[in-house]
Amino acid sequence: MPAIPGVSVCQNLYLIACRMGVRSGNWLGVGIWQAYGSLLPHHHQLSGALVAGEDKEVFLSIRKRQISQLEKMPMYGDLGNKLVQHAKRTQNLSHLPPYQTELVRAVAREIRDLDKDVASLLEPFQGSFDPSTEQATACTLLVNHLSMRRNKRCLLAYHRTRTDKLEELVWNGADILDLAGQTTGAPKGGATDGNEGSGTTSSLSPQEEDYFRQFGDLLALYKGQWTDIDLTGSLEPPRDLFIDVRVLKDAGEIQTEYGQFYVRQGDVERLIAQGYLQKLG
Amino acid sequence: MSYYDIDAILTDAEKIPCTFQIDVPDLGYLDNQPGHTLKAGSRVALPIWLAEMLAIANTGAVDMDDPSQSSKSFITFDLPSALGNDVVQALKADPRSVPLRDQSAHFYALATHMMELSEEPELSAVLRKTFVSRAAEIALHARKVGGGGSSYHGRDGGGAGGKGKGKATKEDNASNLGVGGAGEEFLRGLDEWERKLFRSAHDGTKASKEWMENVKKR
Repeated sequence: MPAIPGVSVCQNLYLIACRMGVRSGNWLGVGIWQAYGSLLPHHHQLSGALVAGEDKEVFLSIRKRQISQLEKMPMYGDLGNKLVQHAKRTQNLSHLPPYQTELVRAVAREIRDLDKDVASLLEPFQGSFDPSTEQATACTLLVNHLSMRRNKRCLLAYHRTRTDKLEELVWNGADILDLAGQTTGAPKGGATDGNEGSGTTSSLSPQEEDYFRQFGDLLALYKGQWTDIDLTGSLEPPRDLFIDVRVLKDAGEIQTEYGQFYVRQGDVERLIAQGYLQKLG
Repeated sequence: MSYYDIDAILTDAEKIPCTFQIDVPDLGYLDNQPGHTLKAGSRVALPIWLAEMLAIANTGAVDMDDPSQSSKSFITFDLPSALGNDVVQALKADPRSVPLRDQSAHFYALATHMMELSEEPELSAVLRKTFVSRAAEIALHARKVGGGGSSYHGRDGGGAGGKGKGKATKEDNASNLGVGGAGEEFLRGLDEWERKLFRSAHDGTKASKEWMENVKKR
């Protein structure tokens, strides 16, 4: 090949592009390829051969492979899966992590999109769709349907995991203020610091707060049927009738029958469960 | 296996190799080529929740010339590599030396699911043996951790609380008991089901030990 400066330069560029593209998988390689492409007619003319065409094919095949490695096509159901992984983590935590509003919305959106797809796929058939003659369409429809069903299951399982957790918290006498964090505002700061740390937003969705409150009411109603048994009381038999307590949070003026720091355990059990008092000794 | 079972849902997300039997114009994205036709014979890894129904579903096509061909399904599938020959051979050789978790976090669940879809008598026998010999090993480790742990129960004050214990105890196991790297290695390779077993075995040992100590105090 005659020594023409332009050619050797762009060939070098091309080599660099290949190497960078393949090694680091970044898009700089592609940018350089485009620069090379604009020089291509020139190159082609000069060398007068089909080398460039072959090069291009090689490069394109490399690029194709790169793309398939780099960008795993997101699949329907991927987001739902993320949600379930959140649920899995939630199961092993003692507190309730923040509600994944965005993710839930995205999954719901995916379902709506799939539903639209199905509608537009079926439209040309005017209600006379025959799966045995339109196999490919039937297959697509089935895939769409299954993806919707999968997403539904993921959504339901995620919410179920959280409501289970909420019910458990209600039974343990947790306070909605502790869970809701910010919703009641900054003045209650002392009550939220422990659980929320950075918490500027509630870790419960508004619906979950409702659920929590209503389940609490339901439990209270249920417990009300047996006035002489505390269903949520401790199962440990007390060693002493009276205990010493330390006040952890300001709960206002509370006077029990016997005093303020040496009290009957039964009188303050609820306050201990809520975290206002600590039992000593 | 409940509809709401998180582990079951995660198991269903495991991918298995499938082969499409028909051309489908709109599904190119399953093979990383959106906008292209997915050709018959393409091999694609699909999650079980998709593959299962596609394999079972009948295309409903009636082939007049050859009735035996008339009802093929959309796809056929193979066993995932986690249950492939290599793994089965390794399990036959020594079940305890295979980190199942590296194959799949839900190894047994995946295997049971696959066996529901296709008959695998050999696999079933191998897995049964695998579980039995590994379960014995798991029980042994769980007991060691619980038994040796009483001295530092006080230290962590039971504060770990509830279900989160599994991981912490495993680390304790490695540092305090001199079970050594091998034991730690083995415990890391447990699949999700085995982890549950380990946890209950460990919690059981610990609880009964605590109860015994309480009895002595009184």
